[in-house]
Amino acid sequence: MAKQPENSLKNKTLKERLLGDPNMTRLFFIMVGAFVLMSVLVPKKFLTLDNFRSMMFQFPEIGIYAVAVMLAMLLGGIDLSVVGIGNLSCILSALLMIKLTPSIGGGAAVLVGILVTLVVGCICGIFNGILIAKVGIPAMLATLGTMEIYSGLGVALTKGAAVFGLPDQYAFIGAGYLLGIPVPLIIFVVVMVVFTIALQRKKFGLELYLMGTNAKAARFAGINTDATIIKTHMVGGLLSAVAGIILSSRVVSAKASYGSSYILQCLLVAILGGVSPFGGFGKVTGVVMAILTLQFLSSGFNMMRADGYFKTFIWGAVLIAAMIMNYYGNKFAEKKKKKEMAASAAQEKAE
Amino acid sequence: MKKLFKTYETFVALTVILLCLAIGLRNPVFFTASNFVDLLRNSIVDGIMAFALMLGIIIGGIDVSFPAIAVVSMYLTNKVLEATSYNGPAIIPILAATLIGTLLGFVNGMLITKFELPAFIVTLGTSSLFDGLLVWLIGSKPVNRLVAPLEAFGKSEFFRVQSGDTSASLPYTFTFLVIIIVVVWFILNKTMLGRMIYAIGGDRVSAERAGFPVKKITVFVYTFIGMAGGLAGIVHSIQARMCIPTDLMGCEMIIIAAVVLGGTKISGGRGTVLGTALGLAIIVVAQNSLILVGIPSTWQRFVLGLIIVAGTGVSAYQALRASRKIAPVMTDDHPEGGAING
Repeated sequence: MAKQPENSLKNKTLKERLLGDPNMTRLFFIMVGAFVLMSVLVPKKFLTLDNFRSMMFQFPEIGIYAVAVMLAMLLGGIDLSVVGIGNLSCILSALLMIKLTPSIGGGAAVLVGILVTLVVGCICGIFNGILIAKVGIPAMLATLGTMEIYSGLGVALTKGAAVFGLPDQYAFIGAGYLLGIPVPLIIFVVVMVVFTIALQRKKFGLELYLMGTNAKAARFAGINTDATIIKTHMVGGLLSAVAGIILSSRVVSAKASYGSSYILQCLLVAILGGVSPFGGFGKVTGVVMAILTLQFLSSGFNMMRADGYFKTFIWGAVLIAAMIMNYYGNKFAEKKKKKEMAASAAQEKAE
Repeated sequence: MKKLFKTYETFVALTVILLCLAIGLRNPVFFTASNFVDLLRNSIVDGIMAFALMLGIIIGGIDVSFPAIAVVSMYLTNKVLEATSYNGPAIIPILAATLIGTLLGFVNGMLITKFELPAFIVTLGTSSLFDGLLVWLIGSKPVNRLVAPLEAFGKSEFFRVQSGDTSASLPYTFTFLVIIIVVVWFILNKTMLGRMIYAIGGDRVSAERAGFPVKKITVFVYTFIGMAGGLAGIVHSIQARMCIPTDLMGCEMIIIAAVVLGGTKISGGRGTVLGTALGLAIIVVAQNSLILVGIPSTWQRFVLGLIIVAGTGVSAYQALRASRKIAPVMTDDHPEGGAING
């Protein structure tokens, strides 16, 4: 993935890229399958403009959280604190916005609030990174602890209640339209494009993939591994803040327990999207297809009036099934490779 | 190595003592006999889960599904008991719940070993799978009154102490914690199985090459954690004298914290019963006594998070410095990759 020369990537068409990677091909068919399944099961509700519009408002936040988790997973780590970061930064900025609105007006307060959210997100991410790189706490444990810290701080600041009374302008981000397109969707597309480029074409991505595949080799290759870990988690924190803004502005309030089921779904999206939990492998395209799959299923189940716990069960089952599928997919690919190698070796011998 | 071991446990023990002193000085109620008995009582359920989980962490894995397993076992058992108005000996439902837990743990173990999957993500998945399936199929209506035998068992106690106007008792369920501790101690220190668990956690590949049945032992460990989860679940409902299917969910973080604070290395290969007991003491004291020193309950989650980060940070930092000191260039083992492998 990382070693693929740039030129070969640039010249490929979308179709070639999809079919070139068996994981992506499989995922593409799963996504289409989920769409067709729901279209058949609840055709009158699923295939409506209303449904598509509401879906466009729902998946961007989890999708962006999932990219934050993906970045940590590319390093071979994990980030469990993303939702905690999103909520904490939004609670802080919400409290600030409410204070500022009377003096500087809603519009300005929202701008300041967004800035504060992003900065807090970065700081939280940097703190995660320092704990992992400089203190040496394994990523899972460090972010488990900081998840409690960030969420706990959120609970303590709000006494567990939701913060209401945000300026009206804030709602634009989560519920508004720009040129007829939902704003969350625009933010989502921008984030995906930026990270596709950053991961596939830039030094940042190369370092990430290299470190995830072999941290020691990366260090000897002259990569400042500590700095990369901190930088990655900072970006993850920033993304979490962005996702948090979308979520909190969609409901025009901030609360420490918003999105508490998102962590499982983020991991599900990342794993289903082909991101390796051992590090080094994963693409934004996969995450996008996985989040769409999840959204089709989720909306469909909602229309069938499925129990919330049924969805919990399904997410767990899909997560396990996705990993088993990847396992057999990789096995199959290995076998094929071995066969090819054996065939070419035999050919050489014959010559 | 042995010396480091000792110093770390002494360090945890000191932390426990300091924590107790700090709380006790602010509020003398802490040092009453009834408070200590109460703490012991409160550590039964957490303890059963923590000592079993320690095996999973020593072997280099992790399990976050045991709260879900506990809930499924206790709720299923209690529902069946309620429906049949069970009136036999209390030990049968306890064994039944333990058996349900064992089966679910076995599922975890098989998924992790058969498909070579990361334990953390598998158990996160099975956690929502078990819990979702249970509540979706059976519902989440609490069992408000346990059947007579279990209620009677919950009321029976070894002794009761009275200090001032508060009293606390040590219930029979404490026996289960003792049994788990003895079993785990015996496995780790007196059996070949225990040595193999340490060996696999220390270096999985070497253990495999040495011919250890790595997969079988891994399955055993996750099955054991499931078993303890089932037991902890039913014990929890017996102590609470009711059964609410949302009760234990989310406690996995605290249990993991207890084990890791006790010096169990999260990437495997190291951990002792004594250490986990001390780690558990920190967590139980912090959870139950913060309120005594006037920390409002809304700050508890934050303080627990700080304890997790600070506690694991100290040992991680020591390890990091030690490894960089010995060979500053060659051993750059970031624990990154080892963190979530199964």
